[in-house]
Amino acid sequence: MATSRIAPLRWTFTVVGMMCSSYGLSQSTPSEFAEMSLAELLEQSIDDPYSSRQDKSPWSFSFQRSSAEFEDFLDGDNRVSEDEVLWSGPNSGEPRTDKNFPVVPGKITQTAYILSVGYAFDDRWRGHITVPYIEQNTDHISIVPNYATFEIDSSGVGDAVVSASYKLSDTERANWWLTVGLSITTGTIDEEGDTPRAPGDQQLPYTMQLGSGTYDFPIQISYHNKGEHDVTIALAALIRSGTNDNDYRLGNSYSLTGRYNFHFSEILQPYIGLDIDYSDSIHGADESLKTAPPFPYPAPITDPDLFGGTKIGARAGISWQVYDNYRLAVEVGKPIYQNLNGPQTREDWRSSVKISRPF
Amino acid sequence: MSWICRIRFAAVAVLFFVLFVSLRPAHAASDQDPLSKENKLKAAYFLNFIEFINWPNDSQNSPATLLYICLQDETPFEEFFRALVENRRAKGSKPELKIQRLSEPNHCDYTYLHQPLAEEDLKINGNIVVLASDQISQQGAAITFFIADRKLRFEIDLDTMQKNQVTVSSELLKLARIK
Repeated sequence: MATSRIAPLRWTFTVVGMMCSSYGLSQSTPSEFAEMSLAELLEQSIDDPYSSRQDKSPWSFSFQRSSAEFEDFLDGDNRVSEDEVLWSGPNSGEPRTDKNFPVVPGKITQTAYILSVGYAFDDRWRGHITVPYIEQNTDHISIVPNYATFEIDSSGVGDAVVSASYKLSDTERANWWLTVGLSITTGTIDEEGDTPRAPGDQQLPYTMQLGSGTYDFPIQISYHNKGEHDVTIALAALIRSGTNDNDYRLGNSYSLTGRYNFHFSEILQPYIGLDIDYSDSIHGADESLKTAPPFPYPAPITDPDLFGGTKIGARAGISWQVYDNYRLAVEVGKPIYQNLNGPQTREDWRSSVKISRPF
Repeated sequence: MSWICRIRFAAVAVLFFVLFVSLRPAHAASDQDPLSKENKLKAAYFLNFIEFINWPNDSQNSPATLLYICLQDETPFEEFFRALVENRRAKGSKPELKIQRLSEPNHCDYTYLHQPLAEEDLKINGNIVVLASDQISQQGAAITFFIADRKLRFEIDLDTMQKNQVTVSSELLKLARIK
């Protein structure tokens, strides 16, 4: 479930830079250029044969640390207090409903270390492999004796994504890229920990699992305006397939992201962005998370219907060319609107630091 | 999760990093040509345009007219452009060209800008300004380079040309994008 919160689309599709495939002629000295007529100049590619072949590696690399924190509750776009979500117990007189629970998460913290390697096959085709390592922690309060407060943790490798990107068009004003990928089930869906459900370790809720357990298909189409206003807009979807070994499938997610780069200098490039994300709730259910009916879900994070919703987030960052072709980017983001299938823990903020060597 | 897993992941990360550092080109930066082919092409175009533009004080009957060319600052572009001009001079081409900095007090007939001017530096009225890229903007630019399909192209602002009382050959206009 980690991937449903730290949206994988953000780190899976990093379409960067331009690549050179046509090497043109080998003119280099002033006298060679001085001999050229306008007609000959028009035929010349701007790609430097020397740098195209040797300076520009077909490989790209990035390593990113991305964090997100979730706290407090929303039902739709309405704030719900922790007291309202926590059921006080059978002796309190408070009726149990499907909107209150004996166990309630407090703060959810997720950190992903994302390694991505890309290869440019030619000017139009690129491939990427992305592997995340995820660490997550949730603290809880509950009415269960000996579990008034407790924490659960999980960490490990998440789902790896293999993707291919194709440049649909490239003009002096803009380019279009299409990316299609396959998310492989390298992240476990059987993380266990000590919860109030029973003594010892039991299956952890969806939020604490590291993978989806299904083969998923990330798809993205992006537009980059290279004119006076450097704007990138991307429409992305993560389509889940089938049902995993624990009898559920995470919801599909869809996003529309925009980013505006300011070119104050070649070295430092600040940017701002706006993201609109929508994700479905979970289909099916992990039976091991249920308790006795009529209210089988002991915590909101065990109820598959209380996942997904709509988020609109703003972000700002700065990209710094630290050395040669290496860039360091720092970004912070905060949701400005959330409408969640709740009660659900709302996202508070997210941040990332990324070092990359683009194509 | 165990520390062993974290160490394994860190080891893989370090391995990838070492791999990609090692994939960097072996030659040092000092071995590289300081000017990209794109900028060399811009310099060649910039020089070539002169043959297709008639300045008000230029006359086919007085080919010795001196043309003042202004460059922004000392860059590899200037060094390369001066070499191009020397090559041209060796062939005895006219008009005679005088290259100077924009900051010098003399007037400019023909100017190349690779970055926008600060307002106090505005000394571009009455001369033909060629802008290095459409990624930057400068009021009064008459010719602007842009890239299409990895090739260098140029846009001519006819209004600006007319305001500066220069005429442009139809041969050049046929090859340009007209603004």
